[in-house]
Amino acid sequence: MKRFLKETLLYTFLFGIFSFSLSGIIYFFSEDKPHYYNQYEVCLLGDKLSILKNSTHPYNTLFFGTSKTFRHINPSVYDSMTEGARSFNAGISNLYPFRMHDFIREIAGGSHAKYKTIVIELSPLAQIGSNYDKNPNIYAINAERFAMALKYPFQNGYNLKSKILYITGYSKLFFYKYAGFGIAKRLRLIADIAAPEFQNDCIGTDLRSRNGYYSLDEQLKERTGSDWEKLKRRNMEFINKFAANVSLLEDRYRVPSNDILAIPYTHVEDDFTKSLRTLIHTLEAVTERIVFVIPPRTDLKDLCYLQKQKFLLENEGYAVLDFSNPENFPELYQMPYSFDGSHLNEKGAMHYSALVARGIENVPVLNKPLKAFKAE
Amino acid sequence: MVFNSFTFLIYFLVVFFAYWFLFQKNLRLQNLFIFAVSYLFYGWWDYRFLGLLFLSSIIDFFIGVFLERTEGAGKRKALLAVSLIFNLGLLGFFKYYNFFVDSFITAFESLGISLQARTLSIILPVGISFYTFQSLSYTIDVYKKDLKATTDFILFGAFVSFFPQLVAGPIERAVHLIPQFQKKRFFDYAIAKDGVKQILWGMFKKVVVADTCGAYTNYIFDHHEYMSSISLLTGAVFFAFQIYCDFSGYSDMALGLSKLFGFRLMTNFRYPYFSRDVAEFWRRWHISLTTWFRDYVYIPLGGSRVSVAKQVRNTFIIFILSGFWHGANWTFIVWGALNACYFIPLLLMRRNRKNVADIHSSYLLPSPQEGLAILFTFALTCLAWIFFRAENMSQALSYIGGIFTHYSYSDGLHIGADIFFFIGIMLLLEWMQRNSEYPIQFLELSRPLKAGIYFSIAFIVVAYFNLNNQGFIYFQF
Repeated sequence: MKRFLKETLLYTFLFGIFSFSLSGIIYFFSEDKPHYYNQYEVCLLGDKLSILKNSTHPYNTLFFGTSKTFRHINPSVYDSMTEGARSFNAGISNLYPFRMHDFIREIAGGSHAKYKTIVIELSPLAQIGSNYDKNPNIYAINAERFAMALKYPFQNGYNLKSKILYITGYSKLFFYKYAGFGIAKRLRLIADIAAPEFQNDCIGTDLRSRNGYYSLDEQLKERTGSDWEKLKRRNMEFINKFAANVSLLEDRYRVPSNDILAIPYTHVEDDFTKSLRTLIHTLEAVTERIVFVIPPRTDLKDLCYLQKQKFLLENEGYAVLDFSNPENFPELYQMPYSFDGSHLNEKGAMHYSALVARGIENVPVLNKPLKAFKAE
Repeated sequence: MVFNSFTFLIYFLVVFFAYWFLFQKNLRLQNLFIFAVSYLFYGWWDYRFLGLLFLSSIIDFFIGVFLERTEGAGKRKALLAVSLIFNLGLLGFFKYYNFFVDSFITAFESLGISLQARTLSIILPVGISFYTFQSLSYTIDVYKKDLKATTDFILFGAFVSFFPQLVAGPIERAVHLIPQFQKKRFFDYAIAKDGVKQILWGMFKKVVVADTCGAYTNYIFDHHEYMSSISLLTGAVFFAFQIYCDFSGYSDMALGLSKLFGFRLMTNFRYPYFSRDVAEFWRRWHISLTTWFRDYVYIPLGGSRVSVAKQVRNTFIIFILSGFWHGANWTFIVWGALNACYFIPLLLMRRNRKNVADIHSSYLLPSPQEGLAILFTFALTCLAWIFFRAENMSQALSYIGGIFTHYSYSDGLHIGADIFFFIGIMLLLEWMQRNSEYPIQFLELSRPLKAGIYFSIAFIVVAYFNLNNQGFIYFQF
């Protein structure tokens, strides 16, 4: 047994070195070609990217964010209320911030197009959880971002449980990538070998005619299959639960005033906000106006951080439209506008899109160099 | 909890160390520990079915005990009948209830009679076909007096639920495995090392070949109406490799894991795609099930000692039963019947035992005649696999029709060269090592060369590892 264990440990150790070295060499020394990004990302993102890049009548307003943008912003409502606007909803469900930054850079970074307005949903650095093995996250992580993710909960006063979740989630992702798991995908791209991966997470509708928007209600009506049956069930459970007590939903997102007063954040810029600032810097070259949005139904555990970002951005003169407080927008938290606990339905999305359009209407066009955030 | 997951790795490490360091001293403790961790393993899927596993074990245990104490032939038959009715009833209810109800409704509707019957939403307990057959083998062996019944329920429970082979076999025989539970296990360095290598080979087959082929076959079968003849042919061939590498990969991992715990399980696959006829294929494919049907169904029906007509009948019975064992779908029954149709001409011409011996290991290549026979057998097998893989009969028929009619279709399907390379490597290694239990034993190579090969295989496994593709096809049976 002793000999077996000794040999197993030795070979595991040697294999670890072999595997890490080989993966490191492959990732660091192989040139990252532009089409790799598309190959790693989900189908929905690829579709939107293609629409934006190949549109004959270019869009002048873009909305970036997660499902709380994708399912909530109806560009036709926005366009009808904003003179000269031709907007596109570039929101993607589960688009973690690193991926969102990459997506924005992909569209706006190399673009010569001049946009009137770019709207970005503010979101905290997500806990990666069980998604550490997903290709888009593997693509998005690198050593710099890994270090940023490790520091993030400490720089922003998160509790111990969150710290553990951030550290374990991102460590798993980083280890998974650089130990070589799933590196076959990269090797196939380098060798230009067709990959046996067929489109998943496809939305299955004509996004071009919808300007990127697709409400959950519509999709639920149009789609079949086990995933959608599950979603239908969840939707019904939600309706049954909250229809009986309409104030439950509002209570769920109500910001306790004490908590707001006792926000543990400091106004010192953290690394993640720094990376957002770099992104803003890139964007200022291609857009007249950048607007940030905190969507309704933001998880309370993330609200402190978003309030901090709001503070820092507003201090710089950027507009942040904040819909996170049910007291200010009670209708966005009530049953007639709800699809489920986190999302608005089609009717709610129309109302919300109108609110966003009205909010943006009042934002002046920025035409000033980016200043450093003030640290207090 | 599947073998190719991180959860299993952690589970395995804890169980392995506890087994050899805490429970090594006492046989009963070793068995009790295996019994407990096997139930944990099974409960990981769905704890609600643990009761079913326990019930199956306890009933067959007591039937075994009563069989041992009973001498009267009538009473012994009655006891065996109870075991058969219980186990097959369990299987019938969970696996076949809806199929029979649906089939009766359809049959009566075709006669213009409307039946009021309803199907139930029954969840199929994972591995039920495997452990009920294993448990049945015990009562039958005790009934036949091939085995003395055990009076140790923990030992019997551990035998039925032994985690490496619980959910997808090999379906062990009581006469083979129970004696191993009756003897204290000692750690053997050479056997354990052999087990690790076999696990690595199983992982390669599953993660690299089966999952990659699976991505293509799923796509091709799901879109078969639009695929060209070439793509449809490729889909059928890839499914043949997918199912082989998925299932035999699992068996290799099960055998390797068992070796690490001091057990020897029966070989389940012996390079079936090198078979020169269908009879040889069935001696090499899913051996534990084939021999189960042979010993407990075919031979009791008279086997080959009866008239030719009865032999044909018996052959049909075991092939159709074998198809039906896989699932409640006409596609499996047709798959079984088709294999019977392949087999019967060999039986009638007395050629079914022509290729019992392996192709000699010293031959670098098969003779042209053998090569053609191997290719012909593989083609027949691929045709049958289409029925096995299809969701229903109309899909299978439309798929086969497409092979012959979709010549001009352009589907834009690109297949990566890597999968052909890995299938080629696998077949080459299997061919070169066809007399070994698995192809990467490499007993005669130097240590550094062996280490280089194992590291390379392990890196390929890691590179192709995808947590989203981890299910094994045979879990559904």
